[in-house]
Amino acid sequence: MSIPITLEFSGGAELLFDRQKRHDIDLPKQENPWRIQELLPWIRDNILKERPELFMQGNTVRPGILVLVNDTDWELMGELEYNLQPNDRIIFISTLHGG
Amino acid sequence: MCSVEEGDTDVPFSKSRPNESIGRTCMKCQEKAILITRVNDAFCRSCFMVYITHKFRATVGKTKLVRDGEMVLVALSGGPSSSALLHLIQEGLSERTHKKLRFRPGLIFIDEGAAVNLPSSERLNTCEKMLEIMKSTGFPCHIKALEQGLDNDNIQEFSSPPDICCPGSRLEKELGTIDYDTESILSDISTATSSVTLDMSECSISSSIEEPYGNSREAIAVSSMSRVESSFQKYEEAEEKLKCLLKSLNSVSSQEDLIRTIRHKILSEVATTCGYSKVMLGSCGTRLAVTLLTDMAIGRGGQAAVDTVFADRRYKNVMFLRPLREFSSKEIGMYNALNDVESVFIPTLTTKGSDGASIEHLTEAFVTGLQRDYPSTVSNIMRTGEKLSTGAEEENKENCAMCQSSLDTNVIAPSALNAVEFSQRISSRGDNSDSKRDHCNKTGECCGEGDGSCNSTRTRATKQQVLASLCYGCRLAIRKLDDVEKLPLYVLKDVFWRVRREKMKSEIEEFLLDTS
Repeated sequence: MSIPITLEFSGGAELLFDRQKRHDIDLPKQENPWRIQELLPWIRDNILKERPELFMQGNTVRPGILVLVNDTDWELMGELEYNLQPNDRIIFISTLHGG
Repeated sequence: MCSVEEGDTDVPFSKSRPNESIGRTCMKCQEKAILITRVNDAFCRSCFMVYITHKFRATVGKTKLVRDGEMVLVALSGGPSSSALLHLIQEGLSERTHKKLRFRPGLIFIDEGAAVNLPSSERLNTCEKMLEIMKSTGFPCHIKALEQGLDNDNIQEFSSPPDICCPGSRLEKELGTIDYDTESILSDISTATSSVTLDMSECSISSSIEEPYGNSREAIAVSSMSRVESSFQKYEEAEEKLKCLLKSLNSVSSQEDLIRTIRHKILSEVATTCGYSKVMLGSCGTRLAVTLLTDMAIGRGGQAAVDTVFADRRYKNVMFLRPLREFSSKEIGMYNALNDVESVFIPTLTTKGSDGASIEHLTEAFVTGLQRDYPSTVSNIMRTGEKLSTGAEEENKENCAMCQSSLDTNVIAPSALNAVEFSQRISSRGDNSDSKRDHCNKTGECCGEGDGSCNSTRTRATKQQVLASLCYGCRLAIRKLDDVEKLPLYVLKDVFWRVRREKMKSEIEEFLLDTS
């Protein structure tokens, strides 16, 4: 069963995603549970339009991009280790000057 | 305490492992936490809001600088920090707040679209969005364009005394500037579509005026229509001039620096003209930490303190305040997300650029990178910056013609500044700049101010004259500028004033009594 989740990009991060702020996506079924660790490369490979280095650095997001899982700081959810649940809302906010 | 052996236990406090933080509770009320602000501070939603509001009010309140009923100009950029600032002010002024804020805010947005070559349609769009946001607050609002900082007439308009007693003329002035600006955006649009968009701009003007000033807008709309034609041409020129000036600077860092200078100039002029005694900037702590380090790198070390302090007293009649300097960009982002605070994204020169696009951009990447692993980075930089003294202004009365900071170029001979000047002189010996200067002095025209004995013409300046009136940072910024006539007019005027003063001083020198 695929997992439906909502992604939102703001603060300039949306520029890398065709200026579209909200993306409703279905993550394909896979054996292990989906974690943010797997979600990030999936975003990069599937919906990111340009300049992947401005979104990711190493295996995590670029410093200065704030990640909220259901309106909660991802640091409280285990960051990359968080297991995605159906209908989760993940928000990426660029806090960098000029996006 | 300071022994070297202890060194290896003094490792900076690195961030705890992620799984230690899972399911943390609020440090105050033990509810489920929603964010970690610093290493050990987890907050729930309601405690976070209390924390933010309290921090904002404490920052504004503890200096006791903002008095009851004082008019304060709030500078909005559209970005997250200034949007959060506006929201905090609105909350603080609302009736339900326990202790109301007591100042009277006015809002200003400066459109910098010309600097980044945004298409006119996009600039119009941005301005409309900002106008809508500002309008919805019910506060008086102003819109300016960055190129207005260069324009001759605008400066004259700026420097005329504020006309507070007559609301009609003030309203007209207000409208004039807004109208003027939308016009600039329209100027690029082809004539076929201009009439349609013009109507749109008229709508936005009248609606923006409606809220704070009530009736009498119809008469104004008519008068502004007639002015449109004449301002049309002038505006296009100013925009071209700005683009030309920015293009002739050698680096993106210098361009950013110049934009910042012009922006501050416009803010202080608008504040003076419209009777505001304070300007609030939305710079958050993270941003100021970046500014502090950037200042060091671009030759503005002498201004690093005034650029980051809470109350910046650089400008003569206006004080710049930075009420968000205690906030990190994470707290701002979180505050906006939780309160659905709308912000307008406006690209800057380094948007989508690589880390090395400019000094400021690189510094930002450095600071945010450090901040991720060591969450006290920003506050450390800020605390260190606070130790820098800002007290030098009293002794040194001379200010930079461009950025109004006190001049840091009056230094003893063995200095970095003199070394740089020396090597410049050596390397440009073949240049015949001296002959150019002679040519300028021959002109017999007068500036028109005074009895005509100054023999100077306001339209020509030598680079040496200009450079002598600038601080080190501004000298660096315009180092590669080929023609100083491209500089904003207010700079050139100031330079000429200084040159005349200097000349007069030397002429009357022998008649002066020796005071020493």
